[in-house]
Amino acid sequence: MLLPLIGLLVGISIAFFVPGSINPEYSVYVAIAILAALDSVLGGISANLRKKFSMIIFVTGLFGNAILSAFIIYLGEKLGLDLYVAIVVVFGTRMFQNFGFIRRFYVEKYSNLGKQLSIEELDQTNPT
Amino acid sequence: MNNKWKAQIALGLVCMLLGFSITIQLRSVQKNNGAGSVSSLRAGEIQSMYQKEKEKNEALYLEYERIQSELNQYMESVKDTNTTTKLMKEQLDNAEVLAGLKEVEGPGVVVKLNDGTKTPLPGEPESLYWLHDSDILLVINELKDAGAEAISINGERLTSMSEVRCVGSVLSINNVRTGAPFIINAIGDPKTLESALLFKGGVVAEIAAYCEVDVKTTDLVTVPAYKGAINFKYAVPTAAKK
Repeated sequence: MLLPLIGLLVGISIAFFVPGSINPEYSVYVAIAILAALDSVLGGISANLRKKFSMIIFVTGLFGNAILSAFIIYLGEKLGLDLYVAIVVVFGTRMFQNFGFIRRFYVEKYSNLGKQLSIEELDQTNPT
Repeated sequence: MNNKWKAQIALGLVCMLLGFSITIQLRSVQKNNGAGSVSSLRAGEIQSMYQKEKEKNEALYLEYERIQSELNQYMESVKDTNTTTKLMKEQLDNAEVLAGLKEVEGPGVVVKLNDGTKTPLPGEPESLYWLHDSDILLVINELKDAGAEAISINGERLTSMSEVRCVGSVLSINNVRTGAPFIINAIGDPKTLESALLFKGGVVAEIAAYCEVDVKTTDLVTVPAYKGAINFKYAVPTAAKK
C-alpha cells in the first residue's frame, strides 16, 4: 500500500514544479481523466485484494475508459447534451462499490468480531 | 517479480498521474474562476455583481455631474477675466448652440401638425390623410431656409446628425420615437418664419389640404438641448490628422 501513496505525493510535487494551467475548454476532459484514474486505482486495489489483479485488464481498463469518456464528452458537446453526467454516474457508482469492498475487507480483517470472511462472503454482505 | 509487486507499481504510477492531474486541474479551476467565468457563477452572484455595477454606474454619474458643475464654475469665472478668454467663451457658447448642446430661447414660431380628420374620398388611400416624415421635413427645410437658428420637434432638438424618419406609424427623431401631434418649435425672426411657411401654395397650404397645420408666432419659445451623446467615430478634423 506504500507505493501508491508515494506515487501520489510524487505526482503532486511534480505538478507544483510544472508551470501553466489547462484551458477552461478542456477542463472537463481533465476532470473526467481524474475520475477514470481514480476509478482505476480503486478497481486495481480491490482486484488486488481479491488476488485477481491482472496487468493487462488494469492497463486496458485505464486507457479504454479514459478514451471512451473523452469520446462521450466530445459527442455530448456536439449534441448539446450533458453526456458527462453519464460518465460521472458510472465512475461514481463503481468507485463507491470498490471502496465499499476495500473498506469491508480491512474492517473484517482487523476487527476482532469474527473470522476473516472469504471474498465471496464479502461480496455478498451489505455493501453500505 | 510477483503479481503483487506489479500491481503496486501500476497503482503507484496511476496514483502519480492522479496526483499530477488533480493538482494541475485545481490550479486551472482556481485561475479560471478568478478570471470571472460566468458559466460557473450562480444567478444570485450575477445579480449581486449587477447590483454592484449599477451602484458603480450611479457613483460615476454623480461624479460626472460634479465635474460638469465644476466645469461650469470655471466657465463662469473665466467670463470676466480678459478679452481673449472672453472671446473663446463666446465662441464656445456659439458652438454649443450650433451643436444643439444648450437649451436656447427666443422669439420664433410654434407649428402644430396633426393627422387629418377628414374622411377620405372614395378611391383615396387613408394614408393620404396621415402625416409623413416628408411633411415634417418640408416644414423644417422651409424654417431653416427662413433663418431658423434652433429647431425642436416634440422636445427633440435637431442637430446636424438628427434624422426625421417614419418608423411604422411613428416618427423617429434622434432615435427617439414620437407620434402625432407634432409640435415644432423654431427660433428665428417670427415674421420671416411665419411667412416662409404660410405663403400661397407653400408648405402649409400643401399639408393643410389633407392634414391639420397651425402656425403661431411667439415672443418666447424654448428649444431644449440635445439629450443624447455625440460621438464622432469616423469624422476627424483634417488638420488634426496631419
